[in-house]
Formats: sequence, structure tokens, C-alpha cells
Amino acid sequence: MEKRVNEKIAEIIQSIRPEIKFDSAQDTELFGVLDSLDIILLVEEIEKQLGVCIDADQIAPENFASLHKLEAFVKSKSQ
Amino acid sequence: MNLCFERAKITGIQLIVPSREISFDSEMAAYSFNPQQSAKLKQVMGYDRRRVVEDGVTSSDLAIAGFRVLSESGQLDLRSLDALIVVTQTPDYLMPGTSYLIHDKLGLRQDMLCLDINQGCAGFIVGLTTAFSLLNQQNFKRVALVNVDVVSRLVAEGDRNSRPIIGDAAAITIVESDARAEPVYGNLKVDGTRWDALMIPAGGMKIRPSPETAIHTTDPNGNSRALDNLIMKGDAVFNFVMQEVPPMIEALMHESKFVLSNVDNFLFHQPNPFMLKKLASKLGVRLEKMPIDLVRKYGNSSGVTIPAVLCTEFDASYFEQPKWVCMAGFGVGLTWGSLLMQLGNLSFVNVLEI
Repeated sequence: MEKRVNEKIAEIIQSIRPEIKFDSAQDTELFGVLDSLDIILLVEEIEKQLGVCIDADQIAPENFASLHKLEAFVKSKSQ
Repeated sequence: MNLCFERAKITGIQLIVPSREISFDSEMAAYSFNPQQSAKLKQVMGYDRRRVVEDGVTSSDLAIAGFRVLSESGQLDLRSLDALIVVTQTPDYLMPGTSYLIHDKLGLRQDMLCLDINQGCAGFIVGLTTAFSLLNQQNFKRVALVNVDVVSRLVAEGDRNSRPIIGDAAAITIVESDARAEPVYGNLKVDGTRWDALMIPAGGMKIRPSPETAIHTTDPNGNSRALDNLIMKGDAVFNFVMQEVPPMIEALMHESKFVLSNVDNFLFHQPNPFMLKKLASKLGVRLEKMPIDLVRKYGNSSGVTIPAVLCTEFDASYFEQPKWVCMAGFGVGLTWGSLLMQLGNLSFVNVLEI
């Protein structure tokens, strides 16, 4: 499940911004890389593909600052 | 700041939109989106059709055309106006204010007030609270509020964040004193520390327009703009709306002792369908009560979107029976404001295409 969420999120981000390179050994910064349009598309796809509902006030830098933070946030929503 | 107004109501609203329509499909090539992204943005963000003025058309042109139709059709006696408030970010001149140009062309009375306010997406709320405040003075009985913007003229062609959704429009709202009117409850907030989240850097006294201010640069996200253009920090504005609007509406309900489920309609500024859906979900408001799709047909016309929703999303007969509506505007300043009021028995609810 955990692997599926991580892979799915990376896959979604790649479909939105193909130029972002992921390094499995370390976290990938998303803050300042994704713009507001990217974030909107990301939220829409995460909700659609992973079946979670993200509240308005949760679309905030603390949850979208990096790949690891986003993964942890989505997993907390899935539980 | 919590507000309450007595003896004040809206008696008519007219929307004025340019007949020139531009489709996202026709200008997609100008932006750095791949076809898959474009299709998603069309669906999620409402990038579709927008109304924009022809080159050279100004804010006063839209407003004057609207007033003339109201006057010629007998729906408004222009000589009865005690005040004219114009809310715009796109004045015809730095000075004088656009209200004076409208005053001239319409031949309005001398014993009245003309007032210009520089506001954008919260401009309908700010304009109405100003109009309602004037009505506390007994010689102000009828006030015309004009919200108008032609921001399309200041958005760069390569600005993929803003240009696909920017529309031009004007709205004329007539506000009158009425001893029988239900109270109007309001809430206004400002955070000047975030003034640069939405701005046009050049053109005022700080940075005069010059060949240098017309030079375009491209940001890491692919937006190409000059200092002469609208610059929106999309992330900052997005976070601001998501964080500030829901508590503002909750505070308005608390102060007015009104129950959210008793509100007939939520008429919010229309940045895009995604943000509005999220706000509705957070507030627990059903989408049947909150129009979210204005931008797909007309674009985002700043302070005009709330009256535009009123004029385009409801049948003319809808407000024959008074309805409680909750309106909210949010944007430049940063400013956010809301009003809870009864709307009904309107003399006119028109859409004029010019």
C-alpha cells in the first residue's frame, strides 16, 4: 500500500512536470518547483487516483513542500 | 471587522460584457502547456471562453454604455443618483478618477458625490459597504455602484497562469435606502503585508512606464511577463483564499446569528471552479447553492464576478421572492470581505452585450 501511494504520487507529479527528477535516496523539493496550477492538477489527480479528499485548508505548503511530506500527508488521509 | 447596515438594499443590477469572445482552444499554442495539461486545465480550472474588450476600449466606455441603456429603457433616472462609486483597477487615466468621466458623459447632477476606489476581486463587497455607509446620511438615497475592469489589456500574452482566465466586464448596481429592508451583515479584512501578491508593477509613480518596463522575462514556470503587466503570485493567492475565506464565512454566520443552511445562495467571487469547489466542500455548502462556472463562459472579471453570477446564473424571476444570499470577495490588497443580505424585488437584472 505504502509503495503504491509513493509510486502513484511520483507518477502523477511526473505527468504534470516531466522535467522533475526523483532521487530515491533523498527527498525531492516541490515547494518553489510546482506552481499553483501544478498543485491544483496534483490535488485533482491524487483525489481521483488515490480516492482521498483533500480539504481547502490542507492545500498548504506544510503538506506540499516536498515529496516525502506529500506522501506522509496522503497516507494520513488514506487511513 | 464586523459590520451591520440598516435600511439599505440593492434594487437593480446590470451586467455589461463585451461581445468579443476568445476561446482557450484558439490561444492554447501561446502557452507552455502540453495537450494533456491543457485538457485537464480546461476541465479543472475552467479555461474555456472569456469576454474581452477590443483594443482601446476603456472602463468608462463599458460603464457609460450600461447607464445609457438603463436610462433609455426607463429603468433608471440618471438625475436621481446621489452618488456614483466606481471600483476599478483599470482607470481611464491616473487622474481624474473614472467616475468624473462617467459623470460628464451622462450629464449627472452637480450636487452629488463621485468616488473612485482602487479594488479588484473584493471590489463588489468593498463597493457595497461604501454605498451602504453613504446611505446613513439622509441626503444619500440612491447610489450607483460601478464595478468595472479591463484587465485583459494588462495581461501578458505568455502569462499561462492568468491570461487564459482573465475577462473584462462592468456591472452597475443600484443601492437605495429603504426603511423596511432587512439588516445587511458584513465582514471585511485586509492584510497589507501581502500587497505584492497581485500587482501591476509599472505605470504608477513608483515605476514609470518605459521601454525597459515592457521587456518580458520568463519565470521558471513558463510565464512570460513584463513590469507593465499583471503579476500574480499564484501560490500565495491560492493559499490565502483557502486559509482565509472559510473562517470569514463562519465568522459572518456567527456574528449575524444566521445558520449556514438557511442561506439560499452563496455568491462568491469566481477565480476558478477548483477553488470554489474546495471552498464549498470546506464550508459544507451544496454546489446547487453556489455557482462555480462563470469563468468558463465569461472569464474572471475581478470585482464584477459576483454581480455577473447574479445576472447570468439565475432566471429573471428567481429573485421575485426575496432570497438570503451570502456574498464573498477576495483578492488584491490582500482583501477579503463578505456580506449576508436579502435580495429580492429587483427592478432590473439585465445582461447587456456591447
